[in-house]
Amino acid sequence: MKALNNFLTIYSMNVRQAWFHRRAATASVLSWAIRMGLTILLYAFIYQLRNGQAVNGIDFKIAASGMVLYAIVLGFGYRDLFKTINREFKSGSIEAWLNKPISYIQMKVAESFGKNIPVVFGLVGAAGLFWLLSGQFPLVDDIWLRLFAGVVLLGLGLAIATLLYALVGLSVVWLQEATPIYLILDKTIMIFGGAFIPIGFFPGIFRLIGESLPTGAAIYTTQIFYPDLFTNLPRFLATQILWLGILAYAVTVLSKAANRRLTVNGG
Amino acid sequence: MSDPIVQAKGLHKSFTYQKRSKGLRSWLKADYATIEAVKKIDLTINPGETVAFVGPNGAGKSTTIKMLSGILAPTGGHIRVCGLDPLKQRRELSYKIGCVFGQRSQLLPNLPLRDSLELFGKMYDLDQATIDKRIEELSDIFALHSTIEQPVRQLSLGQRMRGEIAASLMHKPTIVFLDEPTIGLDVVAKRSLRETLNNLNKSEGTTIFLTSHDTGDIEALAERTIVIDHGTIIVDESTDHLRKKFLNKKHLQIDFATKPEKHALADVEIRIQGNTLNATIDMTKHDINEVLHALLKLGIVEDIQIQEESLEEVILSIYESTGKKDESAQ
Repeated sequence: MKALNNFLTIYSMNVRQAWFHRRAATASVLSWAIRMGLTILLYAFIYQLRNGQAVNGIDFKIAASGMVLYAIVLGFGYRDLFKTINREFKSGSIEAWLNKPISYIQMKVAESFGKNIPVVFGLVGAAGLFWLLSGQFPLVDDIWLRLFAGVVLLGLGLAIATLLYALVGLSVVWLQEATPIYLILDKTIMIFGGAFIPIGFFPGIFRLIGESLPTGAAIYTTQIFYPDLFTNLPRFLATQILWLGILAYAVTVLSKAANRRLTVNGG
Repeated sequence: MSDPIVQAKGLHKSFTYQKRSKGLRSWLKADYATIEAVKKIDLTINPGETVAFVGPNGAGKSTTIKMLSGILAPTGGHIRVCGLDPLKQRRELSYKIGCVFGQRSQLLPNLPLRDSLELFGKMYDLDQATIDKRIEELSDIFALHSTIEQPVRQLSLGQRMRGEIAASLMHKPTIVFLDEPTIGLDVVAKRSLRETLNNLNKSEGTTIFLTSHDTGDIEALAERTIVIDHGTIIVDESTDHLRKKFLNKKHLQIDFATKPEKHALADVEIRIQGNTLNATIDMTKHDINEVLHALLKLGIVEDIQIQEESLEEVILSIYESTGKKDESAQ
């Protein structure tokens, strides 16, 4: 309970701080909106070539909406966690936070989510505008149930992604330079999250492998409009819970080991 | 007498780093070297003390302070701070200590200073009424009333540093570790901060443990000075005693009515410029009375000044006496 209170306190202070970063947040929303728009145009071109026929059961509305959801998920800014840990370790400013009554990782997660919440709201607004103006919202069956499942998958997905980036961030204590690992992780999440091609387009076994990796599990949210969502949902949830447990354990163990191994300038 | 607030025995820290080596061999097998940053030091600090921990760059000051505050894990030895093991009981210890690293900021840059103080108060489980009261107290001690509503990024360096220290004191720690707290401050801000820290030590009985390169900090703040070099404590004395013990030289300036005559004092460093004579007397070799007596015979005296060595010179002479001058200059 105390940990949650501390998390919420730091989160809310950083939400207040975010107002001062409003220009950067606006630029971030715009860049994502442009990227979203361009990818959706490409999808539209592919579907036009196929005379509007679905690919692997995924029609244009679902593919475009997957892209929109992907942008919203990334708007939470969990990728910043690695950058923050990496920067603070290299500059030595990590030392200012290690003697506080809250874990360093927890503090940085709260900071990261707090600072990025305006971007999330901006992207939700942009998504709403896109659906409203284009009329491409996939009014599939059980939409409310799907949205509810989406919220659960999003929550678990954010936790997994946060732990993954924290894990890579902590590796800097041993590697001194963890950017290559970060890039591999980041690009894998992009590939299996649907940043370029919707995962529904992937060949069966490739899709299964991708979804079974923690990088894939981090971003199941993009599949909430897929026809096979409810068939896959138990597997998705089980995979996410499994990875959550493994990663939480790994981060706990690695944090303790990092504490013992840490060196900062002047010591 | 109460228990020591800091007790370290055989405290040791070594680091390994990868050595750069040439050729294919370095790809296959890395070579490592070890640096002994702190070498089995013993340290005891009592509640309410103001202690300066000084030494040249790379002497082991920051490493020691980071081990005492639970940031770094010692390679060996035993530490107790406020009766707790800093590494194993880091969270419990965080409620009893405050830390300020002169070159790091823990304040929220875009929000008013008050928000940062509130954040720290909440982090340390204080209720809102206690937080408000404590902010008032600290605003009085640190003269923050005019700056508390300003965004931190708009504060001057001196104001920000007072804010940093105030934030670290929100939870009324029993000891505060200050690593180079006056670094980069101008003389006015330094003086103000030193006075504030003295007030804090007197009014709240907070133990102050500071590292600094500025001997002014030591003279103004510390009752006790510990000098560390190459990871070993070479001096641990009261600051007054340190000055007396290592004060070997006196600087003498005599203004004569006319250019002074030649002198016959061996081993006394004398410079004559116009009518003024400057002499540096090594007290271990000469008696001041004898030197003065001899010098006063050189002409009609108009004015005379005798100055003691500054603490900076005292500390420099300590480094020199341990043969570490060259390293400290690096």
